[in-house]
Amino acid sequence: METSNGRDDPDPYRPALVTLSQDVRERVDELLAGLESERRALEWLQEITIRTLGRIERPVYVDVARQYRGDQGVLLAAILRPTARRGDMRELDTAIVEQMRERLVAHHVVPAHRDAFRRLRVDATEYVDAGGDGDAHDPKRQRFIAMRPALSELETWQDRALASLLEGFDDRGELLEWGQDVLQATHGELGKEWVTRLYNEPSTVDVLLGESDADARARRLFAAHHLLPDYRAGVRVLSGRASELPDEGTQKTEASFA
Amino acid sequence: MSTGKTIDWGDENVADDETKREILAQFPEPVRTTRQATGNASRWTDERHMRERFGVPAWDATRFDYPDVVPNCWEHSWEADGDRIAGGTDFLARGKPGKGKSTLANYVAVRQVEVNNEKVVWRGSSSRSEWLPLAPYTVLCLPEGVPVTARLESKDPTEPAAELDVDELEAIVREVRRYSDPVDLNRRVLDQGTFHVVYPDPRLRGCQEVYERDAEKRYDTPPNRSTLFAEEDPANHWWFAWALARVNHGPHHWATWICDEVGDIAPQSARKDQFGTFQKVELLKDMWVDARKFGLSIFLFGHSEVDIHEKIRHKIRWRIQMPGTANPTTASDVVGFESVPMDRQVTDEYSIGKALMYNETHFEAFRWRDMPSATSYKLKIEEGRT
Repeated sequence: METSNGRDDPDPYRPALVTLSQDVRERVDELLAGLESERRALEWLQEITIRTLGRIERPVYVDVARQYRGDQGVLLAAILRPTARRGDMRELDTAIVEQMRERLVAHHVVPAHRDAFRRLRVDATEYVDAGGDGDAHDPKRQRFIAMRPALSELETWQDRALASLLEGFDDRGELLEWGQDVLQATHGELGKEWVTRLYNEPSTVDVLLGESDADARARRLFAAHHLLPDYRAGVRVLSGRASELPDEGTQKTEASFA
Repeated sequence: MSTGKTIDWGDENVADDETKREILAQFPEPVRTTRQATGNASRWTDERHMRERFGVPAWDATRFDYPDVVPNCWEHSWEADGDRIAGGTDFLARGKPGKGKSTLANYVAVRQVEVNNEKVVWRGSSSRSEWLPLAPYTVLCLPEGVPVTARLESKDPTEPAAELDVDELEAIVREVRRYSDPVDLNRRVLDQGTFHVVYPDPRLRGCQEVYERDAEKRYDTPPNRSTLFAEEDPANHWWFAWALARVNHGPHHWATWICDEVGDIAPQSARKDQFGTFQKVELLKDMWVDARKFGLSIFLFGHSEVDIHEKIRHKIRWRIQMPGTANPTTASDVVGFESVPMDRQVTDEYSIGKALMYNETHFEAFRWRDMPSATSYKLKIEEGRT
């Protein structure tokens, strides 16, 4: 039987689970093909974090943060395309690259996806009248992450806070405004003194306001070290509470790579 | 027929050796470490390397809702299966200049090498070099025994051009190979899983012989001559004989012919002129079904429907509408289609990098990766006749 999504998959009666899996698969495909920049690698980690409902293990974030310290780390180099590699990493062997990417997926993304699936399955709504009708419950039409608007809202905050950080700030006052965004983006999962310290420490302020390439690199390290682990914590708290909404009337907006 | 020179043409402003070296240095190093280049099966394949360079995700047919649209056109199989058609495929991509046709052509070339281990043949032409993004992997095929000149020209025409020897082309492409005739090219020169750019033989050697061997194909000989193919024909006419040679004499590995700017070869305006252009269009039309059967896919790119003669358009089963122009919504706009599945215009609002593919029953949008060239220089390869 031809199904609404063109494969021989069964028609989805619990589309939230399918939506989640598709989202993860898209990120995995992108990783296996190589990410385009150091910045994209941070965005990728943010996106996979929320799409696995924060189930990627904490040591991964520590490892990633280390990659941004000083010379480019080999894990980071391996997940990037050749054009984005720096220093000695330009010589990286293609077989190693493939292996490291697959290991990242096999050891961390796949188990996290499984945990997220189990987390979601208990309350993924079953739309008994809707399987295969290509309507608002079609997984390909879902705008929201795992059909949970609250998660998509969180992601919007996370995108915004991460982008502001990576682009840098014009003056110290902006840091306080940014602190508000970070509070939203982490769903409150940041230390009580987090914003205050940011504002008070002169070396941190220099990096956040700086315009040099070195400052931009340091901001990427800051994001990997201080921001992404808190994003993860926020997703974990929120994902327990977010409730489901089929997104009626949304057109399938993004085409697939041919 | 020369009447002597009346104009003092002087010397053209050509780049000196140092400038030439600088221009050549802008091109990425040719890739000679892959499985195709070394024969070592433990190396990455060309397609894997290409996809890595441009960030092209691996092919996955399940990303598409309609298996008969994009997946069927890309994936070639000798066995028909459900909605899928067996053998080679074809499409005509239509779009205005600057809407991504050439980038899509590069992208499709990578996919064909990846999905079917295809021998990809890009139609080289003296004035164009849109294949340069893939230059590091390119096997450049030139005719034997004709003088070839190569020039690198800046997009800024006030910059001096650099003139290259054929040997120097290997600073840009992986390898330059020579062929003696269409059959030799197919049998000896083209490799599976490899991207080739082929420049036609301006002397059309062997073309008439290939034609004469096919007893079923007979067309009017142009007036005042005794053969359909002759040395004075436009070099483009070589392609008709090449396609016929590929279909009749193999080898029948999967092969893709990528034909950018198809209006140069077989336009609607083709006439029974002194070169027999119209007869050759008929020849291509008559071999179209056999091309499919023998695994030759023909992917055409043009500005509009009339870039290609309607006799051929009747045979093309897939269309791609590039962004910026509205897709047709009635079959009367598409020669050879009895119905068009779209009921609305959508492609006029697409951005570059997204297009619509359709056949008579279904349509589906798809995206491709940008594949920029590393430099703004164009490569012009011109062939003499003697």
